[in-house]
Formats: sequence, C-alpha cells, structure tokens
Amino acid sequence: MTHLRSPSFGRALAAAFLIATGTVWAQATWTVESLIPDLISIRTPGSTISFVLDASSYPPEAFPARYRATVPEGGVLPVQVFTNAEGTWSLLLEIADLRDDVGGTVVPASQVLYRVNMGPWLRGGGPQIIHTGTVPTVGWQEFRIEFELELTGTERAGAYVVDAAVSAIREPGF
Amino acid sequence: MTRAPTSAAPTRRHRRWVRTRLVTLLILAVGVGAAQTTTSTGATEAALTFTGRVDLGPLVRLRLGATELDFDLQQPLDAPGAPLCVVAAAVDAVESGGFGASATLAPAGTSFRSVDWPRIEVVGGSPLVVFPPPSSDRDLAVVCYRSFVIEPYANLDGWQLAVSRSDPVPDTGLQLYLAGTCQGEPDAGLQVLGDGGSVVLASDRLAGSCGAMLVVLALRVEGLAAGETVAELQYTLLTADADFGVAPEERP
Repeated sequence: MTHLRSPSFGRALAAAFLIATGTVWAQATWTVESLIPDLISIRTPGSTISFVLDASSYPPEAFPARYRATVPEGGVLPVQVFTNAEGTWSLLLEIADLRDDVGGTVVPASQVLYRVNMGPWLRGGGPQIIHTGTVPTVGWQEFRIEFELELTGTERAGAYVVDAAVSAIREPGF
Repeated sequence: MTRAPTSAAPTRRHRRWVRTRLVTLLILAVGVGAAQTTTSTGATEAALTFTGRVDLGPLVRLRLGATELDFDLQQPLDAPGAPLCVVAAAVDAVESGGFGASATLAPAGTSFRSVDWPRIEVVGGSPLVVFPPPSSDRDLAVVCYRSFVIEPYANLDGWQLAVSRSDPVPDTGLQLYLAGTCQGEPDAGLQVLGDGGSVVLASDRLAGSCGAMLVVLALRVEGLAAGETVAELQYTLLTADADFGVAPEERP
C-alpha cells in the first residue's frame, strides 16, 4: 500500500499545528523612510524689472521725481519663498548700479527704491536682508516687493540696464 | 440622389478633433503661464537674478516763468511789482570780455546782484521813485531792471541757451541788456542785446546742471519815444549732439 500525500498538504498541516500551539510567530515589516530633503526655494513670476518712461511724465514738473516700475505689472514683484527645514533663513535683495550700454554712465543703485509688503521705502544697493524667518514656511510665503526709480534731473539720455538679485539663504540647524 | 453633408450634427470624428484641440490649447496655455515663473531651489541657498531696462530718450524742455515783462514807468517805481530803476552816469562800463568771450557791460555803470533768490537789487546809481527823474542832466541815464526765472532742462551734455531779439517795429532806440544766472552760481554779467542780435546765456552745460535760471533784463530809458515800445525775445535751448538737436561745430 502506498500513501501519497502532496507537499502542500504537509506544509498546510505544519502551519496549522504551529498556529494552534502558538509556539512560533512570523512577522514581516517594511520600513518607510522619508526622502524629502531639506531645501529652500524661491520663485517669481518673471525675471524682468523695467521702467518705461513716456513723454507725458518725463521730464517731470520738478526733480527729484519717482517712477514706478512698469515691469512687473504694477511695479510689484511677488517673491515666494518655501523652506521646509528648521533654522534661520533670510531673504536678501541686491540692486546694482544702473549702467548704460557701454557701461559708462551710471545711475546709482540708491536711486532705485523698494519696499516690502507696503513697508517703508528703502534705497537699493548691496545685499540687504529684507526678511528673516526662524521656522519653516507654511507652504509658499509671499513677499511683495515694489520698485520705483528716482530721477534727480542729472541723468543723461540713454538706455540703462537694471540688474537685481533676490536670494534666500538658510543657516543649517545644529 | 446626392445628399449634401450637413454641419448641424457633428460627427464622432469631429467631436474627437475638437476635444484634442481643446486639450492642446489648454496645455499650451498652462505652458505659457508656467514658462514665465522662475524658480531657484537649493539645500541652503536659492537665488534669482533680474534684468531690465530704463530708457531715457534725449530731450530738452524750457519753461518760462513769464511770457511778458512790462517796464511800466507810469506807475510809482516803489510800488510792488514795479521795475527797479536807478539814475546813473550815462556811460556804460565794460566789465569783462576778450578774445572768445562775450563782453559784459554795466549799463550806465550799474549792475545787479542776487539777494534772497530770485530777488535782485541794483548796484550803483541812485534809486528812482518817480519817472522822469527831476534832473534832466544829459550826463545821467535811467536804467531799469526786471528779472524772472526760467527752467531749462536737457538730459544731454553740451546744451546751450540763447536769446534772440526781433522787434516788430525796428529802430525804437530800446537798449536792452540781458544776463542769465543758474541758481547757486555767481551772478552773470549783462550782455547787450540789440534788435536782430542774440546772446548766449548758458553754453556747454552738463545735463541737468541748471534747474532754474534767473534772467535779468535791464534797459536804458533815454531815447525812447513816449508810449509803448515792444521788443520780442525768443529763448532757444539747444543740445549739442550728433543724433539730436544741433551738431557741435568741428574744431581743427
């Protein structure tokens, strides 16, 4: 007489025995790791700051006179910052002197004025901290930077190039 | 029988085509909008740069503080708004001049100085309150002064301001003297401005270097006929630029 049992039947029997006795416990675990890096990011809707003066307003009735930027629209540049890491972070604005096409004639950067979120008007120049945060932002945090150009009347005719930079720096936590 | 196709009931193929185009347009619109956003991301630093332009076209502007200046000698000369008149020696004095420079004169030996801009006072002579003066001495002359402010503006270097005279009635005997002084600068001397002539009040100036100019006119009264005498003065602001205004003269 031959007893034939399939291998699967034996394994099922063994498993039922072990479960019934409770002597052996098997467990499978999966480790889920977060792969979100520490980062800081800024974004703007454009990369142009321009002042277009027309004959109806230039020259003005009296100097000095201030002209709102025509690009971006309304003279307001929305800058959005996102950081997800602990630590102090700063938003900086740097405006260079305005130079003509041959790099000779200069309109000082101090004649470009800006204000952040309707704050006081400040004069442009080297890197200036316009905001400091100590905690991560909740989503994108927006700063509205307005620009105006002040003309004193001594500016010579020509086409001037405006150069500015916005940067965000995070100090890594310890 | 041939049946013309109708467009009232779009076919399935047509509807699919429309849907495809709408999706394409939507993607394009999102793409254009998104393309303008500039983003920078880093572990500890992110930076964006901006560029732009400021175009200041070449231009000049001349604003006159008065288009008519009256020397009314019928009213008391010490009244407000009356010209400043003095009685002085009849001979003009040469103040400066020379090769290449405009001669300036002191009419009947008188001149002016700025006091409490834009007010002036006359230097020399005896103040005259009522015209004519009591003495009819031929060696004395009456000189009257008036002033007003003009605002020349040019955003190019090398501009000049000139005044030319063209009287509607010639040979009136009206002797005019003119001087122009930019605010904050030493008083300029008076130059003779005869009918048909011109004088330069400012030359070879830097852009925006004279926001306000005090123009002083002086006239000698003797020799004028009774009644009204008119002199027409034209103020011209020129810039010396090859591309704009009047080109500078070539010099050897």
